[in-house]
Amino acid sequence: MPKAYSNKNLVFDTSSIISISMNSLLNILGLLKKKFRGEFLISKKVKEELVNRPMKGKKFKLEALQILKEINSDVLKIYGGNLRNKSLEVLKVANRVFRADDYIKILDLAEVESLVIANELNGTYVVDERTMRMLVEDVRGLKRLLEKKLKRRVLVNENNLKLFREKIKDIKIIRSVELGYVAYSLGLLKELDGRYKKELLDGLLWGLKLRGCAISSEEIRKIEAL
Amino acid sequence: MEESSRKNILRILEQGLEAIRKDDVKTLKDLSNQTIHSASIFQDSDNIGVAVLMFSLSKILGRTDYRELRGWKECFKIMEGRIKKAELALKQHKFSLFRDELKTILTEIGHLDPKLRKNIQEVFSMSKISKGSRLYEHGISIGRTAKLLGVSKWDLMQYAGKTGIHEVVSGINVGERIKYAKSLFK
Repeated sequence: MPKAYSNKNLVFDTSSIISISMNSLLNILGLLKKKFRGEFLISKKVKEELVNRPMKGKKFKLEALQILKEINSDVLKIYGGNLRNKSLEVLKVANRVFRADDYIKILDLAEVESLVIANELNGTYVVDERTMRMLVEDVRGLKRLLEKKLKRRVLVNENNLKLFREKIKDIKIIRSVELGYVAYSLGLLKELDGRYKKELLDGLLWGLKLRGCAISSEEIRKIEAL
Repeated sequence: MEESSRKNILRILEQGLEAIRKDDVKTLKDLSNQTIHSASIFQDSDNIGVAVLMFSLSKILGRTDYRELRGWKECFKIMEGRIKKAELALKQHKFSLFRDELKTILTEIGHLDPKLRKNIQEVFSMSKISKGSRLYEHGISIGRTAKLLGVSKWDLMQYAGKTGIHEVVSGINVGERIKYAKSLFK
């Protein structure tokens, strides 16, 4: 592990920052980081997807600039280590876990790279997209989903699954909704709540869901009942 | 191109042409959905391209107001003509020609009257995102899907968020996840 990194890290995938950004919630990252007392990291590839590429178009340029501000002020740090080879190894194995007529390539390098960084640093992985989370936490559930949607039998290559689990050990995953909830419960969204505290939580969770965070309405109900 | 893929695409194009002639929007949509299943497994650009094409055509034909716009007849002729030529090329195992014919649809549409052109190009671009969300629904990650279709993760996430894709509950109980997240900030 590079010495520059703290022993407490949150590693963000592109998807989680997109949900946060599209809800104009980037400001909570700095506030959360102060409470966290560790690093908020992204990979170079994630930075490219969040800043460099949208800067070339018009549609998400403003969001890209706002994210760049968080990077320039060190709220989000770019991971400086090189884990490309390990990421490629993990990607190869992950994309050979499920088989229908052929192996089903389910992941992309940028997603795997963030997972590998979180794994190397013993950090927590923040990801909003569903497939990666299911591969780590619920392989059988992902198999069932693939079978249901593809309308055919899907086999799990147990050997490749074992290899994937050897490379990625017991990693903890959270989503933007959990971060949003923590910010809410810590009172970091105070300026918005006032009389509308309950509505604020509902608006926060649904906003994140409707802009891409993989959370079901049943899960939202459960969070609101906590 | 795999022989099974070639046969599948040929079937889709043949039935697609018939549906265009009959103005049958529903069949075009069904054909697109059928292609998505195989596209999720084989992830080849040909299957994905044909799925997007069929879906776009269903949307374009479904918009009867487009028919009032200048250049509509020419547009229809371009689409039908190029698909016929693509079908013929595929029958003859001329794969590069098949791909070129399909690409030419967009190039030729680029020469149409600006209003119709803008609408049609928008339909093609929205269809890519819509079909992308179907791949994601099938279990392919956002990143992989974005790469396969050449669309941005930003667009895909906004689209997927408004569908019912995320209604499947999986993995760790949400209460446990919240508890863990809170523990990180103590």
